[in-house]
Amino acid sequence: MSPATHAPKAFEHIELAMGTGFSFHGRSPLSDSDTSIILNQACAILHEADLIFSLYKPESPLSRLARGETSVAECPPVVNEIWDACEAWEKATEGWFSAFTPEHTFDPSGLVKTWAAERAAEYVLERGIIDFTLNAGGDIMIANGVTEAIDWRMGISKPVSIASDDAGILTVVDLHRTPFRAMATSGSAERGSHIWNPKAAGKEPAKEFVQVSVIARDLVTADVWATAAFAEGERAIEHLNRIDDIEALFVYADGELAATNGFINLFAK
Amino acid sequence: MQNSSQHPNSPYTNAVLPSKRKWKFGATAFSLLSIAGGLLVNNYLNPPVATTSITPIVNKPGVATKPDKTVTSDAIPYQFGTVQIAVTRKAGKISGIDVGQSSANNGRQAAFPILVQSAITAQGTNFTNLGGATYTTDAFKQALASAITKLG
Repeated sequence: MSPATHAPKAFEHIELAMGTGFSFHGRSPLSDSDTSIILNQACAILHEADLIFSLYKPESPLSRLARGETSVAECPPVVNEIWDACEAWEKATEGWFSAFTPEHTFDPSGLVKTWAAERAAEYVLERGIIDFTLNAGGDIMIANGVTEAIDWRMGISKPVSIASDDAGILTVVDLHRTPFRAMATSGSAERGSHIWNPKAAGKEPAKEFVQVSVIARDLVTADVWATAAFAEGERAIEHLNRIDDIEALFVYADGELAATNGFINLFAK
Repeated sequence: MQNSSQHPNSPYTNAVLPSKRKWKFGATAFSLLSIAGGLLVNNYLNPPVATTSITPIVNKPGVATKPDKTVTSDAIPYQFGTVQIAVTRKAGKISGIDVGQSSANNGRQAAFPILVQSAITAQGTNFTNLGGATYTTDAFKQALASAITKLG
């Protein structure tokens, strides 16, 4: 550490966007005002993604696409990019992640939140803030430059609503000295069953797990596999064991736990 | 099992028996921990919803440590066998959980006890972010409000 280095200053920035909370937490070597400007601009990326992809906003390009009023070609180029990404992920997950709803519309919201979060985090990283974590509504990424041990550790909620009396911590994982930088959790605790089964007749949501937490090198990968594993049900344990650089913790409806083979090494000690 | 004092009908175990939910072994073990570490859990809930003005509290001074104790749970039948655990509390923290008397009859999770043990041990560590199934804005705001309330 050279004597000329400014002492990093702790920051916390919470942004409500895309119907959830995004929290940047870390230390910045920049001035307070520069840090604040950078974080606000990063969050503009989240709001912009929301304007394009929200299916809750009737005039968003995605809503118009769902109603058949426009085509992908007429949408902003990013829609095409996400469409392609969704198709690639559908293939990679053997169909268990699907952005095509039971109503045959395109709903990439399973991907857009973490995709936008990653873009926002990249924006911050490129501007010299590298010591931070980002919690995107319960899905978490850790930047490579994180310096505090506590920031490498992430709690996993119990599979009950955060507003419930039983809410609490299921366990804690520690990603320090692992190749992993992200964790995403799928479950029915907060929003009811919002995942559909892309394979079953009638596309009923999978019911075997109440929660699946996936740990991966990046946030989108973790998010996609968490969604896919939740939809696939019990067979996802073996499925994820075959995928490189993925670990997962599963919670059954009866409270039992299961995990991929390497997950045991990730528990905080 | 190394139970210095056994309390099969201890309120610690009765309090956590699953009644409403089909939430059995996991809940039994985890709830036992949260009884001893309930205060810590509240603090853990702080980080993801904290604002700059909130300093996470690691230990609240002035709270008496509960006496050392080992309790054995009732044998709880569940879908795949029975679960009976002995939990030892030392210096106010869960120091050991013995799942030796539990059984699983279909071998679904050979690694289950060690998985649960590791998960519980990990609970005792501090962390920055809390992950979970997506919070809606409402739940997020509610949690924020509750965290602020708890911080006093």
